[in-house]
Amino acid sequence: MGTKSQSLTEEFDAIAELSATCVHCGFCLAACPTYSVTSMENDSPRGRIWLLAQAARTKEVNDSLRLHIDRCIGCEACVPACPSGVRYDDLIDRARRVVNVGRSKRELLGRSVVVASFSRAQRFGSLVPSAQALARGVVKSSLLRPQLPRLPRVQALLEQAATIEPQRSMGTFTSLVPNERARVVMLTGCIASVFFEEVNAATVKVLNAEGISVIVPKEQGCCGALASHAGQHRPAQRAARALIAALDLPGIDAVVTNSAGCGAMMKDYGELLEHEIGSDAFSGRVVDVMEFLDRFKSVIRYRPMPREILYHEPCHLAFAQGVRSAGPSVLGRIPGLKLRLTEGPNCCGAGGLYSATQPELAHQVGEAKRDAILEAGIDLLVSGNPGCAIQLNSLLGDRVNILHPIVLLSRAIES
Amino acid sequence: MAASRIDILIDRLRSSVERSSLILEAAERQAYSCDGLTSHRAVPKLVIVPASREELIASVRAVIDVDLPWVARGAGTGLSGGALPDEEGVLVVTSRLKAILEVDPISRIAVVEPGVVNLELSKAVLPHGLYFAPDPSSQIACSIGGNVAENSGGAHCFKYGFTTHHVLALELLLPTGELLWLGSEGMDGPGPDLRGVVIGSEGTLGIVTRVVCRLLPLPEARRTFLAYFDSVAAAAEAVSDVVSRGITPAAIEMMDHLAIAACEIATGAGLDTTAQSCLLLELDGEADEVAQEFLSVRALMDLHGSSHVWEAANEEERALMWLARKAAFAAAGRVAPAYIVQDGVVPRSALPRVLEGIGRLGVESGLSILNVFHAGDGNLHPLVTYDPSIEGQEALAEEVAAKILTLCLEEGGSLTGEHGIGVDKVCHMPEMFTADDLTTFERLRGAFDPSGMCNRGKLLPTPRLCGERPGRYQPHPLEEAGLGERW
Repeated sequence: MGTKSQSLTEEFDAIAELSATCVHCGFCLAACPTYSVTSMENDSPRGRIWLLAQAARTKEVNDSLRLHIDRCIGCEACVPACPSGVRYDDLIDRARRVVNVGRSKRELLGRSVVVASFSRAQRFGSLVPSAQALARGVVKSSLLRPQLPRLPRVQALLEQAATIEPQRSMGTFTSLVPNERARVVMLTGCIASVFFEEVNAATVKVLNAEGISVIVPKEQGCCGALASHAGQHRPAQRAARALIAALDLPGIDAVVTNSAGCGAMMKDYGELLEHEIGSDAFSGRVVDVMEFLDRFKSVIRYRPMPREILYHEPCHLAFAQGVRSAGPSVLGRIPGLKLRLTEGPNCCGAGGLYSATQPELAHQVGEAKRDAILEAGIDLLVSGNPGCAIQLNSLLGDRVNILHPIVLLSRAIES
Repeated sequence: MAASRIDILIDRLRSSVERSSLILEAAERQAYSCDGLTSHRAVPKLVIVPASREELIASVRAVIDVDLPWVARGAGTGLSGGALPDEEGVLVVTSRLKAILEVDPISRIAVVEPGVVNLELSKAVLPHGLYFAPDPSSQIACSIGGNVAENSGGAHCFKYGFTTHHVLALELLLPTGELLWLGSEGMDGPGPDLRGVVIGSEGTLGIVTRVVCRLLPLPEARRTFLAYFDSVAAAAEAVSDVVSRGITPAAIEMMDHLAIAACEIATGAGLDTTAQSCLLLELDGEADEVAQEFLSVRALMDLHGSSHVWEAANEEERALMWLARKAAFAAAGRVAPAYIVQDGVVPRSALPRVLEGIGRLGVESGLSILNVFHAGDGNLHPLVTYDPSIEGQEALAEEVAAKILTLCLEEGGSLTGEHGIGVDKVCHMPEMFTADDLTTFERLRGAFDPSGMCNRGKLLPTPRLCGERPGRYQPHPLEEAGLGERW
């Protein structure tokens, strides 16, 4: 117990210091997706920082604090928006750990189950189609459907599960190219590898076509982002160490990921592991696939695609990683392709497990995003994050086709 | 007893407004305990965030019925504590009233609810080639209702004026509970200009429930550039020269060396941090006129020894320049742990003298003072920085800030250009106005608010308030020890 209260004191001290940077100007309000739908101070970064500063002063976690920290999507759009440089990204990580103190055992267990099952999705891959069939059955059932609004979390999960296309896991392989320009290791991702196999295949195809060798180790786990979002510090650290061991191969130029959420987490391993040996170096090698492709002069001949598509910026790419121009720049290699940025709130409301834990607010943010997307009247959208793709898919259904940008690139390669 | 009146009020409100419109939890009310002026804090007994205009009207009337003091708040970005809650009363927040009710591109007007964010209005009318001219630096977050309360200006007010020049009419809920329209949809209505009285009254004459905004067509051409100088005085002289030659730039903003450095750290816009000062100039209007003015202004910059100029090559570069400038206040948080921002106004001709005086105050006190301001209309925003952890430095900063205001008044200037008096400068009012002036203000206020419950203690000094030494927020030793909280 001694160490636990000691680490809590350390968290509070750090929170006090981080929140002292806030000058209460309110510039973050406009960037915050939850404030944009509720207009409530406590659902804004400024309000949450205030609550946290109070908690740090009184060394007490109350229900209000827990509620409003839980309601933060963690999109980090407020970080670049802040003129005085508040590190809200660091604050929210600590806040999520702090608010787990005093949370009911039942709730803690529930959160652990969700995190564990998602982060082991790879192992349960073969079960997905039958689980989905069940989910579709429930969603369509005239008997059960009316019960769903009473269970918004279940409803959100089921509706998402019902809309996702199941794919089988890709397995292990190494794809070397002659005269390679670089050699990378690829993260398959726990959710992506099950639901978006095409994304991983496309990533390998495009990288190979650019003369980049790809190694995909078999034993890969979750990056730890889901545990980290749930404030589970130790499990997140364990996941990080395991993944570093799996991916940090000798002779590798980069660790490539096609998931913005995983990329943001892995780039933060240095912080997460308190800069233990190797963690910062590993984080330094992590790169989003679009970011990596943008570093090379392309040798691919793309078929022209004379049409306009929507480009959705995942928060975990744009704000958490600061990668903004790479996606449009690489997609711009396809002749005739015109990109239009999606409007509405930046965030789609996905935020890792957020759409499952805060279905109502996630839905409100999502609806605002959905309306802005439909307004544009374009039926193809690209998003470089599996979480966003799942959320947007469940919001938009058949009306807009959602692809990972790497899939679009792969389809445009001239054979 | 106030407590029981609050209970009666909450009971009544439960039947007339949504549960989610009431913030009862003590911890949640705390987040509303200050606006952009964090040195003054008070936790209200109740926060109401009405979901609709009807809820706003019903709830404020309920507050008036039980005779409790109340304060209106928009986005909470004000810098003079105008939205500081009343510890014994109710805070009414307009943030959820953000509907743009009507846009008439032919008459160039928009009818909006008070919680509409300033920049959102301009974005919404952009497809019609129109915009809302007042652009305070906080325009990304501040609300139109707040702009009306403070008569907000912004970087472009030198040419385009203040909120009062861009609000044709408003619907006001008086502190007596009556609802009325002031102004007209035309440029001038009959009778005394009560609309003008309300705009800039800092929330003391009621709460605005709807606003008719005047929209302007976007200028045909715009040229925006930064001119760097080796001294603050040279830049100030260049400003006077530009204006005295009859040129009216849309904006003339000045930043000194420290401000340039802070803004660059905050935004990475590409400012030259080696310069001693810079002017951000924007010319707008018809293309021919702008082209000609640009040549004249450019020549004047050279004449006054501008070392180099960066002209925005495109809209992105222009946006970067403004991003840097508008981030200035909060950016001061990058170079110092705390600061006091002042808002004094001086005649343009006095700018070099006053800036020199401010520089001297900085040297004498040993405190760094950043200067960033609307040079065109002589509206200064000196940021007196200090470290609250160093004993006595906060008090010293207070003293320096007060001396700057005195400096402005001695030059025939004003206490505030656009941030308002609020609680921050209320005790300085007698330095600027005579007892007769203040009595007249009191009588005007009393005509709108006979019971004196609407934003009491703001704007006009009271003996109770100013008899006590005005001080900034200081945590009680018990609070510091974590043994108690201020409610």
